[in-house]
Parts: sequence; C-alpha cells; structure tokens
Amino acid sequence: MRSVILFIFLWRCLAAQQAGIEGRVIDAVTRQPMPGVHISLRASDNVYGAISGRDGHFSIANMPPAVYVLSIQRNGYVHLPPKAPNGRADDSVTLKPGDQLTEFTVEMTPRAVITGTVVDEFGDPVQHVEVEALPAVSGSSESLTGPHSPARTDDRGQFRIPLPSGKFYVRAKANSRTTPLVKREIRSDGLEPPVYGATFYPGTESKDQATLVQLTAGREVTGIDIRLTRKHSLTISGVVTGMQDHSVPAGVSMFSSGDSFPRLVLTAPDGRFTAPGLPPGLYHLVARQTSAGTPLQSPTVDVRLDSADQSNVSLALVHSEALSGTLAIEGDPVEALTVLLDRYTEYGGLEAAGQLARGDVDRDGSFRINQVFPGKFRVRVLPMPENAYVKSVKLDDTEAPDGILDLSRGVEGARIKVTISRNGGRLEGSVLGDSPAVVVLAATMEAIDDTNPQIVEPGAKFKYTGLRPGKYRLIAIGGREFTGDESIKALFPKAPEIEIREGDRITKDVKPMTAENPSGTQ
Amino acid sequence: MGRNKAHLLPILLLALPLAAQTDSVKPATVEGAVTDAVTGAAIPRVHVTLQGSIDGQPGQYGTTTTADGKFSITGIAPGSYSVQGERVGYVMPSGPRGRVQLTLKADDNKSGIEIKLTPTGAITGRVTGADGEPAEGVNVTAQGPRSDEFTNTDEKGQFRIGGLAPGKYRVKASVTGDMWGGRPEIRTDGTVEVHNAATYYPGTLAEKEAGRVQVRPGGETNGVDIQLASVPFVRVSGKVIGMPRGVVGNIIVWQGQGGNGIGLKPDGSFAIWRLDPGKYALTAEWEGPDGREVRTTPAEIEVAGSNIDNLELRAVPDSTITGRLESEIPEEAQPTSERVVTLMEVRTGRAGDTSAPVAADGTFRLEKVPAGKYRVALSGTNAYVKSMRLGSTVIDGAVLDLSNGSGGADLSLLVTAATGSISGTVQDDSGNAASAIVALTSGEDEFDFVPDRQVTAKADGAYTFTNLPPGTYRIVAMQDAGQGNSVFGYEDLMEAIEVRDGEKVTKDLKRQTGEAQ
Repeated sequence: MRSVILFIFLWRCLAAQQAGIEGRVIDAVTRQPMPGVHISLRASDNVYGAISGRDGHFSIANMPPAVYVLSIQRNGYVHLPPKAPNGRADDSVTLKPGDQLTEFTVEMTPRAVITGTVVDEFGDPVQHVEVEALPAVSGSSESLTGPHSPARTDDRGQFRIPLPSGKFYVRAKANSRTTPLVKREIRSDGLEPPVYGATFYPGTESKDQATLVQLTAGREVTGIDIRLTRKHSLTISGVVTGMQDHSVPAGVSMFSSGDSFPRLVLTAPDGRFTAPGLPPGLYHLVARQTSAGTPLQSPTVDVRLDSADQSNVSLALVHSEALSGTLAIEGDPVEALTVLLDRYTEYGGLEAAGQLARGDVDRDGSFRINQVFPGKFRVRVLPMPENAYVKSVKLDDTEAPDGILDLSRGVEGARIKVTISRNGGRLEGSVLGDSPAVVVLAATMEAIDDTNPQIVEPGAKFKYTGLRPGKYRLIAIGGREFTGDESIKALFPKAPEIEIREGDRITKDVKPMTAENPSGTQ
Repeated sequence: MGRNKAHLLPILLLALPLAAQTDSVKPATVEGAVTDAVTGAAIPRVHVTLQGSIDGQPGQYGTTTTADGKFSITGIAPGSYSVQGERVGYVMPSGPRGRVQLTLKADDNKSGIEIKLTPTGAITGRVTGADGEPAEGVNVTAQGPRSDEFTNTDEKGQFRIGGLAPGKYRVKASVTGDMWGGRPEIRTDGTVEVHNAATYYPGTLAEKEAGRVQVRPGGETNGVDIQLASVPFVRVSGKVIGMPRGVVGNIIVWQGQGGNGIGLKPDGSFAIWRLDPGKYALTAEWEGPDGREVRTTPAEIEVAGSNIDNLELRAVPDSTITGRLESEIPEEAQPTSERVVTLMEVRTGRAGDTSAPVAADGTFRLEKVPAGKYRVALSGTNAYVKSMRLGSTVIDGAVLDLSNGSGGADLSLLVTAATGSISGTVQDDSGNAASAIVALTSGEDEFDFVPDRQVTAKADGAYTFTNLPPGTYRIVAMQDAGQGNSVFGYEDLMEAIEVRDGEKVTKDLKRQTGEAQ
C-alpha cells in the first residue's frame, strides 16, 4: 500500500513540474493587441509554438522546465528584446519546474524601410550593387542589410532595405558582381573603363560628408538615391617567367582584401599579362600553370595600386619541391601519423589550396612531403593523439617563429623537425549563473580569429585538451550567439588569465562578462 | 566618304605598341549604331566591344555609344571579332541577329554595323503561405533558358524579378533554409505548424508540371501569384556506420546535381524533418585519418508522406575495376582513334566521372571508382555499349550498381556498331523545302539543352544523322543557331523521336522560329 501511495505522490510531483507561459503581443507604437503573431520557444532540439489570437493573447502549456530562446515572427515587424543587465539583448525565458508565467507581454516594432536608386555619373541605373545601412550609433542587433539577404540593386538600380528605427548612413559597395576573368580592353576613344568605389548617400566617399537618414518605425523613406563615385581605373601588367609550355596560358590570380573572390587573368604565349580596370588597393598575385600534368606556381608577389599603373611585375614559375623531415613524439609512441602543410598568408585570403601537401610518417619518424611550392606554412599532424599538441617546429635547427614555416624562397634543401608532446594541458569548468554562455579561450587577441567558441548550457562544462603551455585568457559571454571576433577581442584585456603548464589539469569556473560596445561610440 | 588620314595618325601611333604590330600593317576601323530592337530608338551609353584574341589571349576593343547611339572604334588589329553591346536593361538576342561576326583585314573600314538590343522584361507577383497570409522573405526564382534570376518577397509577400531575357520561365517560390528547420513545433493552443513546400507557379510541387510565364521584351508580366502548398512533416533519420569517434561529419541531401549539407550529431546519427516530397540521395562525409575525405555510398529515398527511419550510411572503399570491351564489330571496322570508357554517376554529382582509355586489345582499368550507381559511356568510336556483365552477373538495364563496390569483379562491355539514323526534309510553313539548323539531343534529360549533334540543312532542306545508338532522342529544326551552340529559345519546340537498333528513321521537320524574335 505504501509503495502505491509513494508512486501516486511521485507521479503528481512530476506532473506539477511542467511549466507554461501565456501572455499578449502588442504593437510597440500603437500599443494595440496583435493577432496572428507566431511565437516560438526553443530549448536544444524541441521547439514549442503558438499563434496569437484576435485579442493578441497566446498560450503554451505542458512545457518541460528549461531555459528557452524566444523568437517572435510577424511580417513587417521586428521583436527588439529588452537588454539584460550584461548589456546584451536578452531573448531567453527561464521556466523552472512548476512555473506558470502569465501576463507575459511581448512588443513588436514595425519595421521601417529605405528605398532608393543607385546611379552612375551619367544618371544611368547600376545593377547588382550591394547596399548596406550603417547605424550612426553602433550596437544595433538587427542585420544591417535587411533581415533576409544583402540588398542588391535590381535592373532599375533600385534597392529596398527593411530596418529598425534609428539614424543610418546608407552605403553602396563597389560593383560586387565581377566576371572573375579579367579581359584586356583596348579603347580608342580615350576613355577608361568605369570603376567605382564604395559611396555613401548621397554621393560621397567619406562618411563625414555623408547624409544621415532618419527612420521611424512603420514608415517608408523613399528617394535615397546614391550617385556612385568614379575611381581611377588602374592596370597591373608584367610577365610570368619559367613557363614550360607556351601553348597553354598561365593564369595570374589577383586577390585584394574587400574582394569576395580573386580576379584571374591569362597570359599571352610569351608570358605577358595585363589586368586593367582595377580600383586602387593592395593586390596579392600568384601565377600558376600546369603543363604535362606538372603543376608550376610562383611565390606570391604583393602589388600596391595607389594612383598609377604598375607594370613590369615579374612572377617566376617554379617546380614544386619535396620537403623532408622527422617527427619526434614526447610521450608514448604512436603509429600511422601524417604531417600536413597548410598555406599561411598574413591576410588570411583565398589561395587555391590545390592538392593538400602531406607526407606519411615512417616507423623511424621520417617523412617526405611532396609538391611544396614556395610560401609560408603551418604544420598540422593527423590524427592527433589525445591531449597532444605541436610543441615545436624547427627549420634546419631554428625554431619557426609562431609555428610558421617560412619557405618563401623554396625548400632549398632544408629539413624540418616537428615535435609533438602528448602531455598537453587540460582545462575545464562551468559558467556561473543560470544562463547559457559562449566561451572562448585564446592566448592572444589575434588567436581569437582562429578559435572555435564553445557554447555551454547551464549545468554543463566547457572542456579543452591538448593545450600548449602558456598564458591564456578565458572569455565568457552570456547568451547562445557568437557575436563576432571584434566584440570578443574587446573583452580580451579584462578577461581572467590562466597559466597552463605541461601536463596540467585545471578546473576553473568563470563568470559571464559584460559585453562592451566594440566601437565604443555609444 | 573619305577619311582624313592625318586625323588617324596619332591614333595609329598609340595603337601600334598595344597591338604589337609592325609598321607595315595598318589597323582597321569599325563604326555603327546601337538601336532598341522593339522601338528602333537609338541607345546611348552602350558598352560596345569587339571580342576576339589580342596578342594570343582573350581580349576586346571597347567604346561607349554617344547620345545618338553611334560608336566608332579605330586601331583594330586584323582578325576575327564578335561584336557585342551591353547596357543595363538590355540583352543581346540569341541567334545571329544582333550579334555580328566581323573578319577585318588591314586598313578595313567597316561602317554601318547595326547592333539591335532587346529590352529585358520583368515578372511580378505575390506569394502567400498555405494559410493564405502573405509570406515574407521567400526566395522566388525565375528559371529560364539562359539563367536563373531570383529575389526575396517583401513584408507584403510581393516580389519583382527584373532584367529577364524575353522567353518562357518557370517561377518557383521556396522558403529559404527550410530543409534544416528541425522537428515540428509542439503547440497546445489548437493551432498547427504549417510546412510550406517549394511551389511552382501556378501551384504545383513538381517541376515538370510547372506553368510557364511569358516575358516579353520591355514588358512586365504581373499577377504571377503563388500560394505555397502545405505538405506533412516527414522525418528522415538514421545513422552513419563506421565514422570514427570525435570526428565531425556532415550529412548531405542531394536532389538532382545539387546537394545541401549539415553537421551530423557526434554519434553519427541524423534526423531531417522538413524535406519536400520528392526523390533524394543522402551521403555522409568526414575527414579521414590521413586528411582525405571519406564518403558513404548514396542512400536513395523518396519522401511521400511517411517517415523514413533507420537508414544506415556506410563508407565503401573505392573500387579499381579492370575490364574489357567485347566487340561485335568486324575487324576491319575497328576504330583507330582513342576510345575512352566513362562511368557517370547517376544520383548525385559528388563523384563526378571516372574515365579510362581503352587499350588496343580492348582492355581498360578504371581507378578509384567511388561506390555508387553509374551509366557507362564509350567515346572515340561509333560503337555503343549494348550490354554489360560484372563478373558473371549480367546487368539488367543501363545502370551499373556499384553501391557496395565492384567486389573485385571484372567489367565486361558488349559493344556493337551504332547504325541507327534519322533523316528527312525540313519544310517551312508553306510546305516548301527550307534551310535550317537541325539539333539532336539524347532524350534522357528533357532539360538538357546542349545538343549532342547539330547539322545544317541547306536550301533543299535535307538532313541526316548517322551512327546513332538505339534510344529516345529529341529533335528540332531551328531557323537560327541557338545561342552558345544550344537550343535556347527552342526547347519547348523539340519533338521526341525513337530509334531502335539499326533502324533508319525518316522524319520531316517543320522549321521553327525561335522565341522573342
């Protein structure tokens, strides 16, 4: 009998643990109830939803206790969540066992819209131009080119961007639709091919002279017409040497930061090339040719275009070389490893990787990597044993600074020695508080670009293994969204510092930090 | 109309280093005007180019038309060029009209060159959800003969797709990012989450049944309204077998040649909730221990209303397949050019094609063939593959199933001469013999616009295609050569025609004029 009563008692307790939520949706401007609004609450894989009725009322029952992420959708409206004490937009709703939230009022703000036309210096419409809105005061949570995809001008040069209310600069980016293959054009009319720079409304390159556009919720601002500023059209020309097969052109790839992809120009049979129609900037050039199945590549040459053409750029094609080396392991031996080289560039830009340069490690630790072209590389070892890290990379007995192998002049008979240690550091811990958090561990501010954040739910832990000994900073930000490297970097100097030594096992709990405004203008 | 030669001198000096000529070769000039193909009005500020080869690399001479639509280009090196005109709001029409080919000799002065540009058109309409409410942020794509153009609906569900070359389009509305949306919402207020499927105008799910929207030059076709169809939520779930622990893998859903992927759970399992009805292939991929990518055999599914669970995706190693051609062709008719065997994957584009040359004794060796299903093609010969045998098993049909690898078996291809033919006469509307360009595509894919063969019928209208393997074909007699050697503008006018083994088919064709001319 007692066990039956116990069972019923427990069963009622479980039922009582379910939570629920009900409330109203109203228009933030008119304060009127809004029907037909879609409310959803997500916790890991489950989503609970409801649609508001005629009086704006909605309800969801029988929800397991959890921390939910709230999202609300209605055409033409945006939900601007209130700011939490940590300064970030707080769209989380915590439901503890038995919670029945009532009178949960949600405000929806009608979106404002900017429309306009982008024209060239003759007043002709320009198509495929990306237009973005930059808030006068940074910190807006809404995507700035519209909630769905970047706004691009259509065949009439027109664009339309829905935005929250506020003050904005409107900027047209330089023509972002380029045929990657640059064709040489000869003109006898004395005119240059048209090249345009990024332009602020109404038609200036500098933000200081730009006109701010004021937006009010629910209103459409039309006539935001932008006249593009014409830039000097410059040319890079030169010659590719070392071509093995003159019947096949070599390709010169030119990448400038701000481009979405490299431009490509083909050489004449004698190796000469000309790339016209380029706006000013810093370009990274690489030449490639494959003849009879043998790939040739040149070292990267940087060319800066300011106000004059650059000619006589020389790119020397060379054969790839083999790089030999040995791998040493500190700790228990491991077999069947492979050493890989990843191309490293300071600008982190696009360089066609082509075949991965790799070499399998023999029993005695030696390896040979084929197809290495001049350049800089980072070394990777796969599969990395548990808790291992690359301890040292030596190029002919000299330690490679920052682990970057400088083979800019080619291999030249050098040998490398890679040492991995199986005794890396381990770090784990939890984030204090009830909310989920994003955790980033980095040794330097620059390293933040290369790290993967961990999203930690309340009650769960973050874990790092195979840590290289050194000093790190541990940054935690409340919420589940990773807002970008810049806002994390701003917190780096104030984050708690941890020193990791070889073989350490450290537990450290961390508190979420206050997110400061990354550009500091608020 | 004599030209003032002294006027030309400074331009000549400038042109010489650019064109790398010797002093004895005098450059040519071209002049003309650009007009609107519909109104005949002159078009200013058109970028006119002469495209050809300059110093051995692709290049062009260029200029811009004046306020009265005229242009003049001087200093042109002798050679062959294609004349083009570009301006926002206009397209170059397909076919030789409007696209002039010039061969210039030294000191040529070609004047009166006419370029006619066709104004583009637009399609406008509104998209509503299955519940009748306007649908915001929906991707609307106009699929046309030259390219696909797309836009997104605004908060009223409205859209406009402009800059379209005149012709017929299929219009498709689809909710972006929907496939990976996750399981259906749990609701307790009596409402139900609606799953909107990608829908073609005027309201079908299947591309083949889609209506066509006509876009006229310079015109706007309005009222292309689409109500998204609602479909049930269907769960597709399963697990990847053989993925090492701790490795991050992806599951990829393929439809046609395109694939869309998302990460697998750490234990290799997956659950996909929002696939529209249709046929798909699923593969999983991850980075292998040596840095190379490992892929599983495609699993084929059809989504049609019920859940598909417990799928297992396994990695099957690549096969090396040795084989030989067994030929029914008599010795003296053996081809001398290099024959190549190609395996073309049927379901997905991931594996690409694997080819191998055939040695003089008929043997070949295909290396690193990923697991999958393939069609077998033979090139460099007038023979075709009549039947196949893998090891001792005779293959039924034209698809070689290597989903579990080849098992080390040899592939034997029975090859025989392709002796089918199609011939006939092209006639115009009055029934008289007419010249035309006759294009033939293999009928496998009705959206294949690149003809396998093309032949010119002269004034007597006679055409012949020989050495055809048996099969279904599509044929059309075109007034103009299709743009880029394709049947663009004529795809609706193609007729199906069947050729049996060795059959000589006679078919007279009516000459078709393309669209929007």
